[in-house]
Amino acid sequence: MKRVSVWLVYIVLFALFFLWFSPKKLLYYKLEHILHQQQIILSDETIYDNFFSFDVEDAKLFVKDIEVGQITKASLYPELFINTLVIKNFNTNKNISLLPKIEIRKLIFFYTPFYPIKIFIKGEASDGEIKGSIELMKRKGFIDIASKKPLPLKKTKEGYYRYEFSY
Amino acid sequence: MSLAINPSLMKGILRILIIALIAKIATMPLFFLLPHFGVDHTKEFTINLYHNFKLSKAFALKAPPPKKSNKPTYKLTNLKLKAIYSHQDQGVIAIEEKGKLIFLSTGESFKGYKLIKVEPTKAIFEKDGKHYELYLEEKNLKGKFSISLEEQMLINPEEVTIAILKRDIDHYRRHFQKIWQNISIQEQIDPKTKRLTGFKVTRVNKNSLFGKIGLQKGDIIIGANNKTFRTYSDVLKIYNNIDKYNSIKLTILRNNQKKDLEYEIY
Repeated sequence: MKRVSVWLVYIVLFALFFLWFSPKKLLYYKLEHILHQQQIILSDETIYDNFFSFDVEDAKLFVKDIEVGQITKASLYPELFINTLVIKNFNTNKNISLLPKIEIRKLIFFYTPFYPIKIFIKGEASDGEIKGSIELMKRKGFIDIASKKPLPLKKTKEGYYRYEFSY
Repeated sequence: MSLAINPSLMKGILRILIIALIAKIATMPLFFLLPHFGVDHTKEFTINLYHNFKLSKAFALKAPPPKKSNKPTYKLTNLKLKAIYSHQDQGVIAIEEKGKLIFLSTGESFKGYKLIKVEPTKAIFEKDGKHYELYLEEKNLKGKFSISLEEQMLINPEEVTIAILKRDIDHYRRHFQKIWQNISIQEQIDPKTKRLTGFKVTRVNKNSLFGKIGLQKGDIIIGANNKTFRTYSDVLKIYNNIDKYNSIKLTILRNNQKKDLEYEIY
């Protein structure tokens, strides 16, 4: 039993050192290249490589060459078993009248290899809660947004405005 | 003085260092496998250095006289020609727009249309190298469309000018959902470059504005105002500035043939 616990400590230590030494900036660049294939670009951002996390500040989000908004801060915690991406303050581009005027205060993407088929989304917008998920096998997902103002999206029975997407 | 070293502590530190070293070695391939540069958004600039360059100027030659346009003439819509005074193609006209009377003499311009000739029954304007005719007030001219689209297509199917009212555009801007009740479009993406090439009209209500302005099912809208759509922002720029335009030219592909649809906005 003692031997097993010692090996567990070694594995945890290895994981921590691996995270510390891993080139998080290069991993972020790889993520940017993957997103670019879906015509999603994060631009003009400042990158901070921390010991166990990775921060991106003041990023402009372009979808299909249109600047849809700005992210004040996004933090990625690649902790192997519990991976989270926390986005703080996302403001949609006010110059585009087609986009709904939503201020997203916090958006969390959660992924664990123990349930590898789904990414869970949870957050907080100016008018209420945000929830959703991405089904990785079906390559589709949805985000439900609570809003007092009518949004040009489908309304669910629970009163949320649903944005559905596939990739 | 003797330095006592706890051998078990040393052994523990050494093991941690070995784990750290193994972890470091394990991350090494990532440095070679992962990209070292990210992706940033870059604006596309198109500079045509020769756009305004005339070869004759470089050699101090006299430029050849401009070719006379053989293009068909169109009637200027939404304006009423109330009175004419002409003498040898020169003269003064009185036009009415929204109940307001405006006087113009030859050489003067109104909303980009230059009055170039005044004849006993009509006034001829010029804009962007094209001639437009305005006849003395006609009973049948309703102000929205000058001559029918079919008639214009018969005159010159490659170039069709249609008048659109600003209020119709404003209506669709305010009631955005109504656009999709009357027309459906599908984005066209180049499979190789994965870039936008246009929008295919998959459904159009013939009785709506979109049907009246000449769009047909199967048309692929590939550009506007002499600019080919390459990005979604190209489309968005036109949408955002549509109230500032006096005219819009849509370039479409119909049966694999390029065609321009021109719209005058009043």
